[in-house]
Amino acid sequence: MRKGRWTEPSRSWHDTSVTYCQACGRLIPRRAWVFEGGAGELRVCSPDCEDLYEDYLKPTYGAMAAYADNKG
Amino acid sequence: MTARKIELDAVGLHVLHNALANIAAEMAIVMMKTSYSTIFNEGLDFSTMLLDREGNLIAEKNFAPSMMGAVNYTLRWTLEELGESFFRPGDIVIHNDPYRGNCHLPEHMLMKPIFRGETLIGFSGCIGHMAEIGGKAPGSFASDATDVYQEGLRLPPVKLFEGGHYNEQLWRVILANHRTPRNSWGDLHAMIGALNIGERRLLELGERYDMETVVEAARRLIDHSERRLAAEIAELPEGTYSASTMVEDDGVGSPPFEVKVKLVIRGGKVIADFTGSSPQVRGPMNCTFVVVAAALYNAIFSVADPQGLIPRNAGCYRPAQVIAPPGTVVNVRHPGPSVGGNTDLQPKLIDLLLAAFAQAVPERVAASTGGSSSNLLFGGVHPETGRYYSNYHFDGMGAGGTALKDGNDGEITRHSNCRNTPVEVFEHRYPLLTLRYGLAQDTGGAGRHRGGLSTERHFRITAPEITFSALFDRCKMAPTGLFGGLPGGTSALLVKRAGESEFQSFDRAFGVGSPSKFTNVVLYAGDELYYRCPGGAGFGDPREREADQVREDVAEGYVSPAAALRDYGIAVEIGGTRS
Repeated sequence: MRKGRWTEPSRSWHDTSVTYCQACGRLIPRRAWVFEGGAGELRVCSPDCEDLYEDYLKPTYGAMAAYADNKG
Repeated sequence: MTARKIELDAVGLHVLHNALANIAAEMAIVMMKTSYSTIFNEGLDFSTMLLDREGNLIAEKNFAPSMMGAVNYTLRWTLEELGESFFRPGDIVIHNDPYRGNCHLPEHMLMKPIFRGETLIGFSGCIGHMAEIGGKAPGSFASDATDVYQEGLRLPPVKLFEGGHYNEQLWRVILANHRTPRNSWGDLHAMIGALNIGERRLLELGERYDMETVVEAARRLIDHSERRLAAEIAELPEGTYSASTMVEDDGVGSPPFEVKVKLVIRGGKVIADFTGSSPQVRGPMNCTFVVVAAALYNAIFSVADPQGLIPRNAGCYRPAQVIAPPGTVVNVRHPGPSVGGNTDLQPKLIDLLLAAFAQAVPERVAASTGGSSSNLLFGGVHPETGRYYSNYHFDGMGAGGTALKDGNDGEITRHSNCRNTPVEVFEHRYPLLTLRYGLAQDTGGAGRHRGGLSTERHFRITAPEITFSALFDRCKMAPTGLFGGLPGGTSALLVKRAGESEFQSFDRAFGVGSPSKFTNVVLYAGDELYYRCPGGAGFGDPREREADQVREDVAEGYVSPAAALRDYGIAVEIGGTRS
């Protein structure tokens, strides 16, 4: 059962940072799916990536910690 | 015009799929026929597509499989970032930001919303490799770039046209930053022409069959493709298969670095997990996420749908999942450079994935291709026209042997399918005299099925001076064979200065840091270049190859008598003498 929620952080037009999915690495263009991953809150690109995390990444590598956004 | 009724059964869906695919194909022909640069009209380094209003791909003409990841993601991500309300009739958005979904900086994506009245129906789009976009090297392929700002002009998603009118301020910025603005003007208009044709044809299709029916057909076709590819993947043996490969250097002095993949096949889906790959390198050999995704789709389609029977739309990309940790060579973070990741890491990623698939389905995969686009960039002032020119050139490597046949010769595979530039066009456009162009003997790795041969060019500079840059790989580390097949031939780029008698590598001649990656070396009239792409690797034990095939290879000049004896154990008589 998925436990995440959609969030959409407000961003000014001159903010050049980009955010990547903490499960698969994809760009998160706007909305992020946020859920508790066992070692902190993770931001991913879609509910599917919560499944990817729970079904594959966490069993393979253990609970992941979040990493910072990219400024560009 | 009264819309015709069409049932959305198997026949009706097939008719509408072909209609949509033909629109994408016509868009591509417009682009090819009207562009200025050889990379478009000869090389075909671009793709065209149609999307629904949510940004889902409904049809594509993919001349360059290296763009499959971008075709699937980039326009959709751009729509998501900007929001539907951003788009108005007559707008065209351009963007080439590698951190936002493009393959690398030269690849430019254009998208146009398609409205029927006030209602947004979908988008026409195209992605193409523009030949010159500024930066530190003519041809915008700086193999010693250490950040994106050295690679050229970066555009986030912005409007090139607004309400059908030129955004003149933006055009002025773009043209002022490209070395060959006339070409950029022509190539951008070729792309715009493709978008306009896509818009017109989709609206016509909606009039012919009723737009709601067309939209519903596109939705069903996407679901159909997803089900079909998932069913094909479900036939593959489930399991986890690992492989790794090495890249020679990053162009700015790194040691060889590694890319790893763990391929998980289960439940009709494939996960390609690149965790553990080398951290991002300083030079431009990093990939963006969509490049890695394209490599995975390429490998999956090769294994699960080799005849291309499943309609290529958003559905057939869904059963595949990439894991590419940001900050590694498979997912570059700002401000890391990435121009070579698309052209020279991507083919190796495909070979890497196929090496993993080979453990599950050995009969369906090929040994390594040459694995390098062998990018050669040059530019200068043309002595006949007085105009600045610049060119991005690539040539044919060998394809790997397979369980069924030898690899093809002289192909820019597997990632791009681009065409070569004929000698006539080459000499007409640029001050270079071709002395030889052909297949390079003994570059196909020996095997039960031999690797394909690569091409070699030998040419002389006829202008007072030309500035050259190169981004090659597989100069030292040969493409690897499968199941006992031998490696393919390495690449080479050599120079003979006017008045000298011997060719030598560029690092020896000019002291550049790498024999295969350098930027802005000036050559002069009378200097000569030898340019050879890497060959394909062999599949299976060479001693199992039919002796008659080896003799034929020697007779055709593909294999030398010495290599036939060394690799296949077959002595071949040439001209009455046994060698």
